[in-house]
Amino acid sequence: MMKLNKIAVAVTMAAGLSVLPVSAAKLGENLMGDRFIIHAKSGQMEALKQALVDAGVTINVEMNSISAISATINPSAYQALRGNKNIAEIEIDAKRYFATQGNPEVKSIAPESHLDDYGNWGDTDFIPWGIEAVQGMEVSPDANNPRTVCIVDTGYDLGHWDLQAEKVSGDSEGAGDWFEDGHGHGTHVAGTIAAKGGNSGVVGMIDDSSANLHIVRVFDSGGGFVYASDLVGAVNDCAAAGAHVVNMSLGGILHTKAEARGFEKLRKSGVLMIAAAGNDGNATHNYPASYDAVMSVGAVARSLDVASFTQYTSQVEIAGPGVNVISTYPGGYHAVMAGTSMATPHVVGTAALVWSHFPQCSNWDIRNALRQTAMDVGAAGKDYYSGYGMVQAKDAIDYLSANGCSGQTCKGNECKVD
Amino acid sequence: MSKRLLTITTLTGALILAGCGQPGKVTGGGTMHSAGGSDKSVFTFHADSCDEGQVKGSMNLHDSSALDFEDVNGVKLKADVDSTYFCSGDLDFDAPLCACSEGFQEVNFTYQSTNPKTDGGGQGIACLGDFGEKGNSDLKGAAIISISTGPYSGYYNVGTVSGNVQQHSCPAE
Repeated sequence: MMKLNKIAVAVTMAAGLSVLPVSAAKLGENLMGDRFIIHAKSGQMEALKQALVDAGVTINVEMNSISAISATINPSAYQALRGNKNIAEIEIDAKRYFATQGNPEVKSIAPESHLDDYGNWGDTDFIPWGIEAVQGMEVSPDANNPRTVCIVDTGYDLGHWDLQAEKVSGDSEGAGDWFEDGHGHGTHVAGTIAAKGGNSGVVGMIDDSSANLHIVRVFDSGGGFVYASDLVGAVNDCAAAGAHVVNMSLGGILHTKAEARGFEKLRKSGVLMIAAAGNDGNATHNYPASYDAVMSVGAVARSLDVASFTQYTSQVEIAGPGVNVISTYPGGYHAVMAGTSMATPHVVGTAALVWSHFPQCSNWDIRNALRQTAMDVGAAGKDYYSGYGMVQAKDAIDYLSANGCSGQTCKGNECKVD
Repeated sequence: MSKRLLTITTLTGALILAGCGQPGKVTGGGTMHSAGGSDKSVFTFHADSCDEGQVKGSMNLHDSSALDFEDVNGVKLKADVDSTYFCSGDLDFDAPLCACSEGFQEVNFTYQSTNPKTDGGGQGIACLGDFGEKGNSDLKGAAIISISTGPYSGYYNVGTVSGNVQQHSCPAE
């Protein structure tokens, strides 16, 4: 009976009847919701689905690739499902939030304007320090072999004068139209990857509009959160759109088997997934960044010191500029933002740029090249804050030119490079 | 909305706001990810406050790769339970307020390090959520462990539990 009470409480809270405690947040707050992921036993997906329907459960997401279903379960449905022989396991459908630190500092600038605070803004493009720091100005993408970059975020301000309007597609996942961004996070991420050059705006890593962008909007204009099951679906949408690299400037603390399995399948299929390590400044794993299938990205400041907010874990693999990052912002604006959310697109843009020169390479080859050529920052050698160091575009291209590609994907320990 | 429904809705909000601790019992053990490290954190526990005025229980925790304690080969401790509650939404002004969210079993403990590289002890809190166990058509659990004093002060870990975490209702009187 206790479990039913717990679910009832969780459902009630999710229904909006609760009031947040007046006192400090309680431990575990927001961990629970009313959505769960039910994994089917082998070959029992259809039977499981029927059982859920019979129990009156609301099915949210069907994840056929991993034989699991996300469903909203109320106490009576849970009672009906207990002991069902088609169920292998049930887990919490964990929440994922985007990983920005602090509030954006919005800059109202027109193409002809100058930015005194950040210098060098005049008739030529403004070069964000991060783009320069990762060698983005030393190499150009190979426009003959553009990579497809998928951005899972708050949307994309299609029509922004400093962002490409061509070669952009998207999926709207119920949080609003993908081609709009009432929040700004996704547009900022997109600008670091692909803001246009030659227009007196900022530049991104791929500044010639050669990249194919696919936008999957999972966050509404208020930011909010996305469930793990929806995130698996979003990244599958990326893959279906032909994505080579996926940007996930988001995360949360609970591991889910659904994501671990779903992302592992996508990694094996050749997708390179890159995610934010998190901004809590502590030694806590953050998912999806901490899955083996995903590159975890820490943040560094312009001084090349590790950002104080970066979460440090054994899974942090690489770092990117994540402090005082200027990029595009909805409404024709630009904004300065911080977070591992901002570090992640530097790595994503670098990966896509490098990969365009070596289209025969696998996701593993690119991941390995980025690690092997990262600039050591923070503590000497690989460390928990910045992994192998800050990503370097030209050095990665030089590395692959010298060493070639294996063209293979990795599995298990093969993915480890020390 | 009728006045009666409004009253019920408001009351429901108040009940959940209260988040009082009720007698309860939790047993089991399991693993979850390390506090930032690469290995699993392993823990066992039993905590029982069903006998009025009596609190029983102990807890063991070993997180060998906890990053903040890497220089002493991680966190290893044995603890006695000081108090434990099922954190419910029931309104009871005489009941203690929970630090854990509703649905968790809260366990407040005093520990001693069992790590040869670290002496001393301190206090901490665990929130254990029995959302089930594998193979039982049931829900996986979640745990939060936070240590506030002593040699492992600052240790904090939260994650999904693989293992056998069971919350028990107290027997009816």
